[in-house]
Amino acid sequence: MADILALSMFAFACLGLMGGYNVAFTLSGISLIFAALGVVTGTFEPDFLLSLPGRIYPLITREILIAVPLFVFMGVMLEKSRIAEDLLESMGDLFGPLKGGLGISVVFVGALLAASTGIVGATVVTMGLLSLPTMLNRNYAPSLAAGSIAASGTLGQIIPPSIVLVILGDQMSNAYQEAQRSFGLETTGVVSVGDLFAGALIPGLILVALYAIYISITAYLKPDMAPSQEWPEGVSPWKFIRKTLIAMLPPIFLIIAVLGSILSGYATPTRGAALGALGAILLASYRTSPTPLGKKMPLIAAAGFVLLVGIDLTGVDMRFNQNDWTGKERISVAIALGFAGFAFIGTALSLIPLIKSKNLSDVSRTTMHITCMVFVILIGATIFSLVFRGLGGDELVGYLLKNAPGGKWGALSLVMLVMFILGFFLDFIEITFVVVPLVAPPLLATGMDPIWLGVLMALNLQTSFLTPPFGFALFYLRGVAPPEVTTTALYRGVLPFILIQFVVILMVVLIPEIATKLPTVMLN
Amino acid sequence: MTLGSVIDNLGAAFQAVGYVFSPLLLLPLFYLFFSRIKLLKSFSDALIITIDTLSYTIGELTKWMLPILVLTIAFSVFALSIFGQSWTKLFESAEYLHATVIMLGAAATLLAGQHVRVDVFHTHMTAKASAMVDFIGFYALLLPVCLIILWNSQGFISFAWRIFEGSAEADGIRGEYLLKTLIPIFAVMMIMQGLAIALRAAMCLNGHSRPSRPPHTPKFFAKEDLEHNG
Repeated sequence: MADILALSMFAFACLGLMGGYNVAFTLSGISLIFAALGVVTGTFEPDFLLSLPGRIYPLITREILIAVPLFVFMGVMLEKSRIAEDLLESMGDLFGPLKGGLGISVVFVGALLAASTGIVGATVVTMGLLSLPTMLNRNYAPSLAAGSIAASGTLGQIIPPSIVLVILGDQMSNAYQEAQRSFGLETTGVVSVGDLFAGALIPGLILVALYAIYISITAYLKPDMAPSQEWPEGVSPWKFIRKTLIAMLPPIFLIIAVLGSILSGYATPTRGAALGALGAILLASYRTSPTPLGKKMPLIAAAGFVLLVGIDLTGVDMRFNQNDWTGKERISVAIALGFAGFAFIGTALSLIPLIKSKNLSDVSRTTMHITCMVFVILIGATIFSLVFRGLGGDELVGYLLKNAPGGKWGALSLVMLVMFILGFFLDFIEITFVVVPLVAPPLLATGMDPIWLGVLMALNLQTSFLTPPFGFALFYLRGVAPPEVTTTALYRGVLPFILIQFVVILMVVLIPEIATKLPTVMLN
Repeated sequence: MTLGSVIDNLGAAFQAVGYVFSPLLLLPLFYLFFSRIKLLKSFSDALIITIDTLSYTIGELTKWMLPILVLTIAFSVFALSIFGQSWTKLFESAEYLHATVIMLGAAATLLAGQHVRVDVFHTHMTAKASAMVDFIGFYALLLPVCLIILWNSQGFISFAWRIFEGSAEADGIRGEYLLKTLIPIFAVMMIMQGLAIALRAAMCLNGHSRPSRPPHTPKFFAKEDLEHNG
């Protein structure tokens, strides 16, 4: 009886979601209805729900999840600074004469934008509005243009730092502990968000490379699908190169600083995200400030921060609480405090133009909306899983996976298939919150590597978002695409990219080192 | 009177306030069937505007905690990694800011319609159909969930208040009971905002005009431009 309730609860939740009410409250509300049915039939203990506030509380205070609003803030702020537009324009000009140059630029900008919100819709819409008109103006085939935009729009999820990897990493880490506790997995290892970042980096870069290679091959074989465009007469190429470098340097520097500090273990993802958000504030202030003086402030702040880190890297002990002060240390601390002062005042003054132009207000509001959306879904999904467990659904899932035909590979394929189908109508965050806590512990108990599994899931979902006719990315792109891009062209254009996705998934399955090597190296 | 009984009485007082206001939850349902009553319409308008303004204002105030959160953590990173200084209170304040943003900003997010929906079918619905979804969704999904959270937090919160629960760290912030209190506040705010949305939905179903909304929040049921006629 309880099994039937658990299964039909899952089915009804999927159906109910189609109704289009709030995802968070659909998940939790439907599970409460089934909890009530369970109480009536005597298969569910109402006391089970008493622990609810005690389960919500850790969700809103967990240190690692504070990285979510920070990364969102960074992404929204970068979007406000219109960096993507500049980058796309200058890269498109620079690579114009190359075969498929503009298409490749789109892929690279998509990869750089990966630091953005990580919510499929937002990234695809931004990329679509930004680059689709340009590509069509330059006579790219609508199918190739739409396909490359949809594909690069979803890159934001797999390339760290992205909020979906933060969430997946957090859930995976819980699942790994659960596997050790309840399923008798005999290791004491832990997996962190930073590990997942490291694991996803190489597969993500392989995807970028393969996308770019596919576009150049197409441009080479069918030049009229991706016509090249000469540089204007009499303009030296150096001008374009300089322009591109200037547009590219700040975001690249920011991403390297954030990723570097996280992957090297210098900062937790939360702290790295805060540094990234701070960098985004300075960048946006520099780019949107109307006065030359206003533009100097972020530069002063940035110089202060860089010099501060620089003086720290010389290895001088600058901790305040030490007993063996040497003269050199005293001088270093004095200089460092001076730099810190510049950084502090520069940051404070950089905020003024952002506040005046209402940019900070808008960015904060959008960030609040996205953050609340994510966490309310997390709360809803927690209620869902709680009831699902109360009805014995987790044992059922464990049993099903254990007895799946084909052993652990069969179970893995089953999970991947279910996630792929769920990806047609649910976003990454919902799937991660609902499915991963249920399926990951039994899968991990068979000895699978948690990072490898996480990367596979991320790749799988990303593919799902691209797959016609339901793929999320396609819906959003359809919404912003001009009518001359037919739906058929969109579907046709995205197919080769799906093929690339499957190739990369297969590569990760066959050569797990692609995902697991970097985290191991980083750990040592 | 001991501290325990003061807290008990305080809790009972809040509960009484909740019971007094609880009949309001039936207002959208009532509105659907007795839409002719003039007084009901003006009362509902006033209620919607009050709730919207409250959620919106709280949201607008809450959002400023985000830049503060960024600066706080960034500051503590530099203080720790370069000068070896760390303050537990500063570190924990990030937790407080983060939790407050989520719990107090959720109603403003609901008002702005930013909680995700599955829009495979929703985008193709008529205004009346999506109003129906919002109306039924409130009574069948949002209201029960928030009531359960509210009801079940009683023991959780009263325990935290009774000992004025603070951080596990000796030099941490002694305000964990306040942080926990955000959970029922969240539930109440979501119920209120859900109520306002259900009322709007009932008005839409009856073909009535709906009061205008605070700035920066997209309209519900934008396809039917009723809100400008009101």
